[in-house]
Amino acid sequence: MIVKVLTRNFDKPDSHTLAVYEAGGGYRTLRKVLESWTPEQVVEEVKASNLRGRGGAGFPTAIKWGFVPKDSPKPKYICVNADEGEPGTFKDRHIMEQDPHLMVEGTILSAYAIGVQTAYIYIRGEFVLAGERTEAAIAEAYAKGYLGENILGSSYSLDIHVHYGAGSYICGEETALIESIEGKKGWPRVKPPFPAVEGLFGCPTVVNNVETLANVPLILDKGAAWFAGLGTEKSGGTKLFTISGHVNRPGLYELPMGTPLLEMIEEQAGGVTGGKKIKAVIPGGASCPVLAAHELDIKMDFNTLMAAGSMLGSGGVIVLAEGTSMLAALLNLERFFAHESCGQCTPCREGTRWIVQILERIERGEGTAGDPDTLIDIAEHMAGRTVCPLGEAAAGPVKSFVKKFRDEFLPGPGPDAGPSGTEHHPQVAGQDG
Amino acid sequence: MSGNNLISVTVNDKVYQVPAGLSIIQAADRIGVCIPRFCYLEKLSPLGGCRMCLITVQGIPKLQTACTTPAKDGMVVVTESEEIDKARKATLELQLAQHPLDCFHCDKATRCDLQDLTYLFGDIQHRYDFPRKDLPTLYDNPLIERNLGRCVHCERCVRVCEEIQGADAISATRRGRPTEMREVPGGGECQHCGHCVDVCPVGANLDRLFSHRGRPFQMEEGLSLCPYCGCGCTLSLNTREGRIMRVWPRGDEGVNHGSLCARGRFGWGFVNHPERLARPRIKKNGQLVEVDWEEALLFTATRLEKIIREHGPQSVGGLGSARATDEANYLFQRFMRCVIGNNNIDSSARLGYTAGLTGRLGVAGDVREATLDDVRRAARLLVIGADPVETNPILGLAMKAAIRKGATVVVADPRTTLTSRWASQHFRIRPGSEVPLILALARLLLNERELSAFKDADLLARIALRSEELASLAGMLEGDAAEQTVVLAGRGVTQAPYGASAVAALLRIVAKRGASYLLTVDRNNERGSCEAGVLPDRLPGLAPLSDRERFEKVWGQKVPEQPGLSAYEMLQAARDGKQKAFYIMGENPVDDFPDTRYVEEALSSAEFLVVQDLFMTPTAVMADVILPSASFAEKAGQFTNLEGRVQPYTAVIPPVGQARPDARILVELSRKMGKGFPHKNIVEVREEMNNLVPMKESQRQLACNGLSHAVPGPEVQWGPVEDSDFPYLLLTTASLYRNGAESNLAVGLQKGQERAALRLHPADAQGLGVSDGDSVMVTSKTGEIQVSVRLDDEIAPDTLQLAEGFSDANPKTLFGHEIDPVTRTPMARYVQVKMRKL
Repeated sequence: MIVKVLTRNFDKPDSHTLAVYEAGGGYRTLRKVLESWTPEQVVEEVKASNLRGRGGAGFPTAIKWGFVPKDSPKPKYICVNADEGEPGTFKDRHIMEQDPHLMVEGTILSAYAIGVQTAYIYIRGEFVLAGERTEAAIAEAYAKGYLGENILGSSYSLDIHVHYGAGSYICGEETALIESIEGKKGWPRVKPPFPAVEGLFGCPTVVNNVETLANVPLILDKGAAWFAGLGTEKSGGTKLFTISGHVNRPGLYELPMGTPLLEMIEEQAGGVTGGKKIKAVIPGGASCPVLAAHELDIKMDFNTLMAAGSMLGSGGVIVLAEGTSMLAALLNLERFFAHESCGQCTPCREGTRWIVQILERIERGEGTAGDPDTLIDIAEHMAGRTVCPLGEAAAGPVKSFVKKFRDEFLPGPGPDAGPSGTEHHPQVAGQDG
Repeated sequence: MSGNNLISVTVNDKVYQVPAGLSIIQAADRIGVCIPRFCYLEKLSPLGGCRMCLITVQGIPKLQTACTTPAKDGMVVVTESEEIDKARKATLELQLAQHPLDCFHCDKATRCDLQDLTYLFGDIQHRYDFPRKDLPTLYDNPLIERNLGRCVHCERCVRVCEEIQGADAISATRRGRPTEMREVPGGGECQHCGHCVDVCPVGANLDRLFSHRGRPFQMEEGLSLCPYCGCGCTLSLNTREGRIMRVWPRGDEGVNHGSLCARGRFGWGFVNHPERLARPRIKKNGQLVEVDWEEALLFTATRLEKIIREHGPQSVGGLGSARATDEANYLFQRFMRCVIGNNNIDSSARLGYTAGLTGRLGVAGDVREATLDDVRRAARLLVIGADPVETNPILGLAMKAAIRKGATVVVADPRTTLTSRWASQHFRIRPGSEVPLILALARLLLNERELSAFKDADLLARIALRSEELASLAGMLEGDAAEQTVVLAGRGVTQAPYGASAVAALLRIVAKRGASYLLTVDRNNERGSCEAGVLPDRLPGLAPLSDRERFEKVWGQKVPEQPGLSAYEMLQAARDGKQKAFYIMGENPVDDFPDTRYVEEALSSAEFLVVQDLFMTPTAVMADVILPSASFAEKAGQFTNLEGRVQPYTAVIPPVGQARPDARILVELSRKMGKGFPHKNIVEVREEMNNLVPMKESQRQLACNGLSHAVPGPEVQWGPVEDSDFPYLLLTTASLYRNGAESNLAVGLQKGQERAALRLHPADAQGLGVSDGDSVMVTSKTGEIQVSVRLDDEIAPDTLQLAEGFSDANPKTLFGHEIDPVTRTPMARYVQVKMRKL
């Protein structure tokens, strides 16, 4: 069941322009809020809406905002995480390309709620069109008085700056993103202190995903109850899913939280290519543990997937059809993580490379009987023992792939041995390249 | 909650009280629970990268890094368990997987954390069976090699270079497994402090001078003190078979708290240098020939006695040493006063500390003197005419530590220096206007009648400062933070006309505002030599000559009543034919004193010259007797650092050849001259000195009794007089890599910087048609030197900056010999020169 909430403007011609956005009621909410709402009311409304972060972790948004100390004499910042780099995920890019004002209005409203005067949008460097349209939207918003000094005649002022990433996946991790905006190498920070207390330039900072913020104008427009009603008991709103892999209609789909996975694949994405059976599904972007064929009867929301040992993550659903080499698929993923590992902590730096070397050996037909256990052992030492979640992200697929498809990681040709690299996430360059 | 900022933490089932605000690893270190680590180091910000310090905190499912997790009241921590053990072994397995395991030829072997932890954990799996990638060893740094293969990626080197040294020379380049800790073009410049070598837990960063000179367990370690600047850093000399092999700090010991500068770490090469003087020499038929000690001492005694007999005791002058120990200097002044019979006693401290001391003596009562730790804690630092980062690098580090904690540093200096580059504000005052600046500040902050003759506008014009800029400088000494304000002054103030009056005025401001002050001191024992009595008008402890009876009683020998001559007065007396002999202990005036030709002529007009030194210096070459003395490493004694801290140390190695400690030479010579000193060893000398000059908490109780100085009037000329024949103004600076003759013979410092470099503005270089590395001839009214140039767009146009101390281009040659009437210090801060391309 497709619901057009976040994507309601996507099909309109020139949907990225201010004129179209305003014609659809855009910035009406901002005017209303600045005229008659206190920041606390905004926070309360968002809290009541059960909005949870769409970047991957699913943390309740209003609670994250609440960690910002009220009495800090320092300026506060909001950073919009538009560094969408998770393989299989392309939802934020669509928002920025097709309805950038939704993100801008959401940023202004959230900034108002937290008491922020300066916001940064950190856009993945490769997102050229998204960047152009975001910058154009910000310029339009300034020109119309939605940004800048005394927005819409209120006492509230906000500036938004756009900052581009330089190609590193890890800069999507919030503290690496902060380092990058500060002009430093994108290495995740140790926590504590958490960004809410000591973030950008040492000041209280909230980092929110593009999709998360895009929901805020809708919540404040139509009310928390309406938004909560779109989702499940613990997670409000719709969710943008990006379905890729061996499906007939890969693409972006806005669906209610809790939509069954199989319904998504069969009804929205048009089923598996060539009428094949599904072999496995990565449900929430490359870093989420894989689900095997018998685990696919599942509702797509944060809690259900977590209970099943995987994650909703960023909502990037990657479908692998019968005949796909799980070895090749995992090698592809792990090459990505090894390439993107920042190198700061031992388990991730050394572990990702070792994993790739073992997988390559198996692929060459030189694997040993001990390799599957070694892989799991390395992954278990990475999971939860690294500075940032990248180690965990690299470990999750290893554990799930090897445990669920062990035969394919044993010496000798597996049932679906084939060349690595699949069409939906092309081979990344080797870690030394 | 426990009171008194203590919290209670349960570690491995035992409850401990620890101070609040610590991380778990810090708490564990304090209670003696050992948690393994590679990247954590108390003095650095935690990285949390190596993952060796994983521990369990009750209530948190995942293992936590002890270095980044704050210890909280009531926390229950487990540091040893099966899970933890497994995790640490897994991390070690990963580290060892990439390590070359080349311990057989690694200088770090047996003192390596990776070796130790591997040994400690014992049964580590070695499942990694892929070919290890051979990574290069980098030799682009002349003193430090970087073996990339051995690196465990702890980033201690990167952090220590950034957070403590402030050099930012090492970066973690690239990402992921290919990450390499190395110096990169465009990064900061290595200052060769060697701290990255000390903190490296493995053999990745190594001292190249030490390369394959012995296993760590073959080294004997002896504590000593650095012989270069006035900081007085504690050194650990690593020796093997009586020779120094390397130098490093020891733990947190000493005023340097584990840091050293290039000189301290790499400047030891002179000690075992082949050119060390190993036997006494005397001049026979115009030739210096080696003789035994007996002959040399007898010759010296006979000649000195003859000159005293023929020309009177006033005809002998003595230079004690700003390098030698307190005890040697103490005996030297006693030798001059009691054996020779005059007060003609001075040293190269006259060029620096003595002038500041003269200023200090002009202020009655207490003025708070800052320690290095006070500087580290300071909220505000006002630096006038000083470049501590180069003259006193550890003081420079203290300043950087303060800056890191948020201190404001304002520098008033005509030069662009490593210090001014750290300042939040740098007032580039007109050369030679440090004294007018202080007078202007005094007019603003003190209500003193003597200064009423000056007009503010005239002063400001001389300084090249606007009145609001002066106000902002004065603002550094006002307000609540005055107590945490430290004023640092250097030779820019003390080596200026009426420098003593300026120091005195500055100290009165400091005292009135409740701030503190510290004078930079270029040489290790300038202060100790003064306090030991190597001054023509002061006895040990700075006692006035009128106090001499007290000393005569202890010494059992007479002390002359008439004040003696200062260094340049002695030189002039020699030129005038009145001074017939010089006894020079550990000084090299030909190189170190301004106006080289004047000094040489003065010394050569004397009939008899005794030089006691380590090397055949340009001064020693002129001598009639050369007495080889022991280096700092070869003798015991004490040095007094710039804070006034008296620090004893012991001999670490035997002297080379027949070299003898200065004190022993003086005692033996005194006996040859029939007025023998009774001392049997250095401790007896020290005890005698301490009886005469009482100590309190390693500081001497000094006689500071408010001298009155001549106050300058508005007619005094400060700063250079323009001269169209000499259109450039040359300003002298200090160098990290040189400090006296010894530094030119230390191979480590030569590698750090081989030759002197004249820094000038690119516009001046263009006008002259020179570029980086070209040679120029620099000529002043008194002399000329040849030097290569280095372009620096931060240098003011029409000015040149040249560091003192390089033997290949000595700016002292360019200066005159005029002295300040009060401090009797020669001026050598700036000189008008002309320049031509060679």
